[in-house]
Amino acid sequence: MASAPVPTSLSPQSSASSAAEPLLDVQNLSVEYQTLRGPVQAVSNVSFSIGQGEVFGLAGESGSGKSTIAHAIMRILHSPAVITGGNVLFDGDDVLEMDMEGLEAFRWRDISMVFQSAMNALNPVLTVGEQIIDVIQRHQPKTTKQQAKDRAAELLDIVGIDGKRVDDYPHQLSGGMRQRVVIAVALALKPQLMIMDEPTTALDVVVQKDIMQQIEYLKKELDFSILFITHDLSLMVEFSDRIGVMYAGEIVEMTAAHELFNKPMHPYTQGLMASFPALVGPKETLTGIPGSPPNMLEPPSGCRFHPRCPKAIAQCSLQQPTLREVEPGHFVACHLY
Amino acid sequence: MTKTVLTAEQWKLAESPDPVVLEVRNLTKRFPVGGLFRSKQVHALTDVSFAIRRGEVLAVVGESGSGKSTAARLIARLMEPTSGEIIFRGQNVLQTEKRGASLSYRSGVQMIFQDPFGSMNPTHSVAHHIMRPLQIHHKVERRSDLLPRVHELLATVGLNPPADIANKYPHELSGGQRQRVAIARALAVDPEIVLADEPISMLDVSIRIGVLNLMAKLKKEIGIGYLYITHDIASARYFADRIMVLYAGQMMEGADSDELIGNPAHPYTKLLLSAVPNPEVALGQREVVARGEPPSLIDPPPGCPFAARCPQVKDVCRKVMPDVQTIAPNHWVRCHLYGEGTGGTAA
Ligand SMILES: Nc1ncnc2c1ncn2[C@@H]1O[C@H](COP(=O)(O)OP(=O)(O)OP(=O)(O)O)[C@@H](O)[C@H]1O
Ligand SMILES: Nc1ncnc2c1ncn2[C@@H]1O[C@H](COP(=O)(O)OP(=O)(O)O)[C@@H](O)[C@H]1O
Ligand code: SF4
Ligand code: SF4
Ligand SMILES: [Mg+2]
Ligand SMILES: [Mg+2]
Repeated sequence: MASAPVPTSLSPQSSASSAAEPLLDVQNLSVEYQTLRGPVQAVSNVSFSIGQGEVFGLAGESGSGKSTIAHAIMRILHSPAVITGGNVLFDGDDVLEMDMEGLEAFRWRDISMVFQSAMNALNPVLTVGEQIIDVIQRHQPKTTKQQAKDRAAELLDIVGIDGKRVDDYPHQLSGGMRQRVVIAVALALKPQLMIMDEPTTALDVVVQKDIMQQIEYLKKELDFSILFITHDLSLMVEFSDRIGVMYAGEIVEMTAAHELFNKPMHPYTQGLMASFPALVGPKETLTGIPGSPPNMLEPPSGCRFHPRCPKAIAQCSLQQPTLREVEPGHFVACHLY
Repeated sequence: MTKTVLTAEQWKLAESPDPVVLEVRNLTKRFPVGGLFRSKQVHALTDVSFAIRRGEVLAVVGESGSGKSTAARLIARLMEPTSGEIIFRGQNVLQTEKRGASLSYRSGVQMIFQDPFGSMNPTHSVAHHIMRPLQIHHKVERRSDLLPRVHELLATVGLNPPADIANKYPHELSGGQRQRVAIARALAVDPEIVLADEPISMLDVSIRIGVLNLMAKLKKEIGIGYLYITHDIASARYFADRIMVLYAGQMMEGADSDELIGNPAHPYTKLLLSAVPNPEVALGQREVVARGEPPSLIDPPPGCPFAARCPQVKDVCRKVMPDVQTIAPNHWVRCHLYGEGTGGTAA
């Protein structure tokens, strides 16, 4: 339990800072919700990439734009959302340019997604086996029913559910087991990238731990990449190779997980770090962050964090800072650097 | 039917001069469920006992369904217990107030809920929400004192400028501001005990600590005692003097916060602590000491409810519910690994 030396899996070598072509490359993505009360700039000029086998984490509070990015990558944004700029390259192909046929093949096979509150997303009138078989047969029409069913049982085993429960209905399973089924569905077509949007937020820590360990193990075995979204910074640092911290639709800091943990540079990240009580070590009075997240209908001028920033200078309300590499591999959007 | 499994004495802080304000003994709640005859029972809470002193915070931690909210709702008298006692300011209130809680109990024991929005009426201003309890409980002498008192309460909970906030409606406030209004409303009636059921879990992470700090300030300055219900054991360590662990509706372990986290004795407490995300230790490097999920609470078998998941389970565990063992000052546990090993309460 007590603090241990920084383990090797968090050390820089393993943080796959993709020297090669990245698997996913998001470039200057902007998304707007065109609401009756005016446009909401949910995502502004966001860029990041994910390498082969890498876990990239998107951290940030509720409303900061994390799910919107995930939905844009999957091309499942609906009106009133509009992608107003940018590119999303998967293996070199622009996802934003794909036609329906291309998308049909791309989703689930290349990238799959585990949705926020996914455990309520299973169809209650189908057995868990039927839901997995459905995905397999839709994308691999040549698979026979029996083959698909065998594969479904195998997938359940992989995520830690007895394969015999393939004929169970969702209501016969606990929340944690339903979440595992959703992960099994996402794994069905052996995707290269899995997007996990708050996959364990609704679960207890013990179940969360068990599922995250399972995912870690599967990732090693099956070698896929992960875009991991959560507001829980501790879990994120523990699980990710690199992390982007979002505030009000923008990435304000991006670096390797251990670097972010040991040396947060953006005042917002520093404030977040000062918002989580620790389980071990001296008890310090935490300060959190004053104020509350902005109304995205009228985001603050200049640096969007300036009304809450304890270190703001005159320039901050006037000029928007850009994300710059202030140390090797450590990107920060702040006038202090 | 049941035997006292834990006396308030075992709970009291050794040298604390502060008086006990609230005590519960063997609090038990069963819900009838199942077919036509509702013949089955959910054992939501079984024999829970503890005491809270003036200005003291007792945290209750445990996974979903372990009975935390049931305990709070029973003490708030939103429903009646199946058995057990609630003693407030020395009065056995289930006896003395049989037809429901008195006005003085309701002002003395206040509750704050998880969802600050759900507990407010969208058509009423903030001022209205705080004036109502002031009027019902006759907390001001004159009408003209009402608004100044509202402003004073809003300032106490850090909502500034109070006159502006008072005129707002719930939808015009952020989650954190709404939770502060809920706290101001609870404070309006001068409570001695606040039952706080996951008061920060629905707030944005950056504002959670501010609300906890506010509650800590009120503990220190006004002497409010809290029952703090949470999933988050690190926040319990931050805010609470003592922590009690519930599992499947039963008390498993209790101690001063640092002692419980530093020297956990019960296998379930150890499991809970090992599962908390810890950025300094990478995932997969630590052994998870038990897997599986909580048991069904419908007509549960006798013995320790953790037996099905416990890595150290013994034969006796499946037959006999362990008694309370005091293993250090202010630290008790219910597990057959401690004490004589065979003592216990047959179910
Ligand atoms: N009205 C009811 N009828 C039947 N069973 C109930 C009722 N209310 C609660 N229960 C059951 O009692 C047990 C304890 O529930 P409770 O709400 O106290 O848990 P909790 O610890 O607060 O959980 P959470 O962390 O999810 O809030 C659960 O098994 C629950 O399903
Ligand atoms: N359907 C919608 N209509 C209007 N605004 C939306 C909609 N969905 C999300 N938003 C807004 O977009 C912003 C980002 O939301 P989201 O991507 O869901 O954030 P996160 O996943 O980080 O919590 C927020 O300001 C949110 O209120
Ligand atoms: S740019 Fe200014 S306001 Fe923004 S985070 Fe940096 S110091 Fe704070
Ligand atoms: S009583 Fe037995 S089963 Fe229960 S926690 Fe202790 S050792 Fe494990
Ligand atoms: Mg989201
Ligand atoms: Mg509850």
